[in-house]
Amino acid sequence: MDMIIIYIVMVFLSIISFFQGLFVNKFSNNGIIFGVRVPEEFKNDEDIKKLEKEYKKIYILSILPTIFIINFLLYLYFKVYIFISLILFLIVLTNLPLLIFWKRMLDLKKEKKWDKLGKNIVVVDTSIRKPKNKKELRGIKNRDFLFLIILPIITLVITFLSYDIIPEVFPTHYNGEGIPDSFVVKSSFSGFIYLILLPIIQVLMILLFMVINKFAINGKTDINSGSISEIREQRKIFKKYNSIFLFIIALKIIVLFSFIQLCTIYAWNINIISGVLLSIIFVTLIIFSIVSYKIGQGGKNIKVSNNEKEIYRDDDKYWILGNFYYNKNDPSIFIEKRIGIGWDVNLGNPIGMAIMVAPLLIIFILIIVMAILGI
Amino acid sequence: MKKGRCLNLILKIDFDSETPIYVQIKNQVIEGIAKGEIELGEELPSVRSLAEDIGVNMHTVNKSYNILKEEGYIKIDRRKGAIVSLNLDISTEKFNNEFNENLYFYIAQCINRNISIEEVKKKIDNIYEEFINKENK
Repeated sequence: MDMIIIYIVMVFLSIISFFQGLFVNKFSNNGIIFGVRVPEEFKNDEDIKKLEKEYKKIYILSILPTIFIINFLLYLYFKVYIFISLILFLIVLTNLPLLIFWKRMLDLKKEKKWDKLGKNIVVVDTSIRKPKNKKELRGIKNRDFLFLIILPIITLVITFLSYDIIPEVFPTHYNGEGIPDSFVVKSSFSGFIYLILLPIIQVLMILLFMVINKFAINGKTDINSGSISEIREQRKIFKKYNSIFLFIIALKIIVLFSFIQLCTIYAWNINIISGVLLSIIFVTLIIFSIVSYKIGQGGKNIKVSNNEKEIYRDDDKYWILGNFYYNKNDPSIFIEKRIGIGWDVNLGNPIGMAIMVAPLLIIFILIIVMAILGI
Repeated sequence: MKKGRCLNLILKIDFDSETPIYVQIKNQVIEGIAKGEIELGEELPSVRSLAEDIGVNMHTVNKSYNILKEEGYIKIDRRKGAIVSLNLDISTEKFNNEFNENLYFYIAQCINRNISIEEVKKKIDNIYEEFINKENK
């Protein structure tokens, strides 16, 4: 593995998690402070301001040294499994101060009797999923994602048109420095499989992106801590950006895969091309992060002027530790994140639980296996 | 009917209410039709998406839709799902019975509370007006 890439990723993740933790309330959904729902009119309460100030102080004093120690540990014990475990630690540790302040915010809410406010009324605007005006359907439709399938088809056509040019023995795997370390014979069966493998993966990825996009533009909208038309407008813009981001990322990854295939065919140097494309993907991710920060979770930073009544429903009881949604009655799998930007799963739904647990399980097994192998 | 600004069907489900949730859904769809928030031939949200948005079991929404279907307010289209059909003749008798029964009971309460017939009529006029106005907005 290339050490420099791992170090860059580690530093990058450290910076991102540091700032995400520091500005945790800016990255939360409408009306959420430390994972607790607070009525809009008390958002700027003196005691909350005090709590926020104290949080920032404690956070900087405890997390900054922790991040340095984590980065230094990676430098001392450079192993991939240590890298993955340290990232997990990083995520858990940067969330610990939040946990303490979630508890304190809950106590403050009880003390101020804000927990008695609000009616237990759910408001649903049926036009959010099915706008009457078809022009209001936002973002990039799944049909448009299907157009991306042209790319794997072109790749496949090029592959077979230039079959004679492909070296008799071609590389199937590259190490971190971009030097091929595994080869296959073209005319063999596995050679044939390797030639069609990338286009097949491309098609599968397009399908995966379509599923994600379906949830991104048609997911559940929680109307709370805002007026109906305000939230409708904010979510419309948020969902539009989400699906545009998804489309651009999908396009770039598919193009990257096509280039890798072309490298195999024409024996190009894979380092230059993947380097260029990876840095483009990297830069777009940074741009997306900035735009996401600007519009806020669910588009909450978008100002919509109206004089409609604010809707407020205390839904704290569904959020374990203020961060994990657990509602057995709710058939939703994906829901808006409460803290942070994006989507989360409903742990009360078996599928949602599986989506949450499976990757963690795989990562743990990976860490153990790698630790045994000493990678 | 004049084509004014787009009205949207908005449901407000009270989890602390004594009225069961499936009844609240059913009633508010009927009110929405009366207000013109959702019109003949328009689709209701799918059972799954409405259950997700409210955060209730899909059986609850299914129950509401089944009653609406039985009363003739909606019909289930294989492709589009539940659409407003207003084939209300099939439940006329049931409605008349319920209407008489409920009205009888309410008038009884009004008499006990000394609410005059004029007041009752005025109230009915106001509510009727409210629905009609909303439709023509």
